[in-house]
Amino acid sequence: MPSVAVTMGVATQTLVTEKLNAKIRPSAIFIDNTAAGADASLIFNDVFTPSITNLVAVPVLQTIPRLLINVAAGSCLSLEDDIKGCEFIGNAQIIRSVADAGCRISFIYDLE
Amino acid sequence: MIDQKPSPVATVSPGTPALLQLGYYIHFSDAWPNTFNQLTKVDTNGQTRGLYFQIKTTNQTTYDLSYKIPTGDFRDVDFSNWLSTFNENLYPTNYLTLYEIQLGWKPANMLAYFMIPAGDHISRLEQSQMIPPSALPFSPTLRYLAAKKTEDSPYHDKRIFVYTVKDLEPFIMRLYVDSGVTFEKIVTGMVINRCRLNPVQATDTIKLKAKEILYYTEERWL
Repeated sequence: MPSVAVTMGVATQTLVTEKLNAKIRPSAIFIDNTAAGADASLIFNDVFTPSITNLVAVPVLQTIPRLLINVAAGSCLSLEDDIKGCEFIGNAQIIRSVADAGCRISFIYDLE
Repeated sequence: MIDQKPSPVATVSPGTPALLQLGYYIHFSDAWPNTFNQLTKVDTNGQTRGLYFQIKTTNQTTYDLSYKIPTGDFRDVDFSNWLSTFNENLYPTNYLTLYEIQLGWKPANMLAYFMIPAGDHISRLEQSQMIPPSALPFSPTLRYLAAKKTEDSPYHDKRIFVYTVKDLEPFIMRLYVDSGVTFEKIVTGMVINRCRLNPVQATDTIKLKAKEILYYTEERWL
């Protein structure tokens, strides 16, 4: 099962790039905010450009929030069963309200 | 033209292959027009008759198509080689090649409709209003008429088979995203069984064994 770990020294990061013939299904997310100087307000976005369809001849980039999570400074959060069924059809992106290299994210996922 | 294999009610041993194999016989039905002159002949009474073939070589090629579609909208996938925004070049370019396309979908909140040629649904009922919708927004009830869902042909147990030959009218698969999601990714998995055909003289045995390939007008008989 693939995984990726990032530090939020940059406020916006791409966790997983889209695989065209699969969806990204997170199986576990670990947020370590113990070394951060402030609370973390995190948005997990699904970022993609749709296909040309009957109604839309020129599709534009879409950013759809899939998860909104707050983690207090000095604490950790582990999500497994809570995120069951969550899926990303494009790139999985994370945004932290304020960049802070003391905030670490581990993202474990399946491509299905 | 198009088949949906039912779930098996019994198992046999050894199992039978899902795809056409080397040495199998096929017959193009008598409804194929004589414009397909490599697949038909006109008999002494002026009737067009479909010919019999044996499969000389096969080659299986996998292919996935993926689309991200907003709710309440659709994307047409044109299997033909006719140049258009939506064509996917899934027809042979040789007269003596048959493509047997086995397809299935990954789980998604979608409905699929099949048409040949464009605009003419393969499946419908006989009462004049019992036709799957064509214009958006789709009727909340009729959208489920003749619509295939992912469970009808799962990606890992493909049950829908489409047969294409050179110059066949465009076969269209319409992929519609049903309400309940903002966007959906629809992944269609395909195995294209490329069959090289060798004409044979029909014997009684061959006639009994041959798989009949129907022309699309026979699927509707209306």
